Amino acid sequence: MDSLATFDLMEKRHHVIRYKPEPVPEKIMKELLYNAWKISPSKNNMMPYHVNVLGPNRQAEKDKIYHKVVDNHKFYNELGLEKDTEANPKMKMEYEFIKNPSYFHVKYNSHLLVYSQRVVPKPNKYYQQMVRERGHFAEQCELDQVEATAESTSFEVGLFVSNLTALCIEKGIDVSYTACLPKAINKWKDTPYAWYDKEKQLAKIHSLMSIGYGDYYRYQWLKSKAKEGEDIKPEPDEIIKWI
Amino acid sequence: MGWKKQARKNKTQSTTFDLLEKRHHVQSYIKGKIPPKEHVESALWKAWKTTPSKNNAMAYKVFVYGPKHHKEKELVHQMVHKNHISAEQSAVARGQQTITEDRKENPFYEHIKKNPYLLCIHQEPREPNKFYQEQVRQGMFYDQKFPDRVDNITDSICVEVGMFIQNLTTYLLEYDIDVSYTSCFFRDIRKWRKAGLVHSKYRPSVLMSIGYKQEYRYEILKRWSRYEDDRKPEYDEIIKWQ
Repeated sequence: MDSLATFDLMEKRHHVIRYKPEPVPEKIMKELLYNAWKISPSKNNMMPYHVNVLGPNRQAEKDKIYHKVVDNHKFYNELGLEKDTEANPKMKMEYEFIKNPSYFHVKYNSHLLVYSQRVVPKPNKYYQQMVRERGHFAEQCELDQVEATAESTSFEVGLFVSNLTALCIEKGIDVSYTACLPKAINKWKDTPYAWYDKEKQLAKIHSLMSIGYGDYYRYQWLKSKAKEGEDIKPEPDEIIKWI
Repeated sequence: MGWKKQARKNKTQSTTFDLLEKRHHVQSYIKGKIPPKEHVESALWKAWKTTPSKNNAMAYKVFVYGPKHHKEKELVHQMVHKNHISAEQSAVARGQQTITEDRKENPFYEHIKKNPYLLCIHQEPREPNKFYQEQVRQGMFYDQKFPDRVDNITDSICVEVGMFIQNLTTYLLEYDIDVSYTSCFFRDIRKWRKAGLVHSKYRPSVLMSIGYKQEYRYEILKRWSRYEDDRKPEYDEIIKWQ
């Protein structure tokens, strides 16, 4: 079967700059999240992450996260300036920080999902026996292994995010993501729901995802600036290499 | 809870859900039955086309080992197996385990060694496109272009790789082709290169095998009467409404 069904669906996804004010009904959100949970695989069936859902009534929390994203961007721009001005000293003088409109979706949306690392309390029955009798090491259950397992957790979060995206688009609901966020585990002390270490108030955030009904998309914004042909991804043969 | 019953009832209204429910971890692929290259190429192209990336960078590379690369697949399997041994031995040394699996090969890694296609996805620095070149001139920090920043952006690249792999999975399942993943391997690229795997200079993110299944992992667990014991955490443990 050479179906284009899913491809056509996924081609509809675009980064949102502004969502419509109407929220996605909670019942629909719960069904979408349930189905994404159901179809997303995980190493050793651990799912070492939480999907924290901030609904329409959590504006203050969304504002707080938006400011973290903007501050993080500013921090890295300034770090980059140090690197780049070695080659071009004029750059620093001309630099002016401008808030990126592509982050607005983090602040204004129907729902904002914060994907955070969790330490799994205990393995399932099968892996409990594997640990006890076969010497299996359940790294996802160890507090000191959070950093060591972060990459594979990020990968799993990506699987979940993509599944949820497809399910949302199928229902005419838009999504957007942000990977520009504070990576340091001590930068989330004011978001207790995301802590994997409650005592030290540490959180590892893998991704942010907003959900809602799109009103104005980034590709439209690029078009308005006559820049749409400039922001393109690398060609497939740069990404995929047959050996 | 009413909405959960509704979700189960509604699932057949979702093509995506019905398709992805068919995905299972493969223990072994049918030997000699090779998915047509054009199907794999088509699925890879669709995944490339529909997977988004921060700053349109796609700062990773997908290396595809085809049906003839038995030696390389064996070497990759060694990267997995040796890492597994090392992780267990370290856990014992830290006092987090008392025994190891005694260097036994995990049968659920078999798909890495014996498959028609093996994908090794590694990070790869990328130059900015025309739009971001202008942003950089205005002071934006484009961290994906620096080889010395590869280790700093691992997590966000792994999220993107996860999205790419999930999309690729969907497109392959549409051809009734099975896939499996592994995140257990040495992350240090020097170990790969030392072993003779020199396709990349950068950190590996994930491994994925492709083929037609001989047997799924869940079928083996069923045979062992262990299927019901290997469950994922409940929905409410993962999804937290704040």
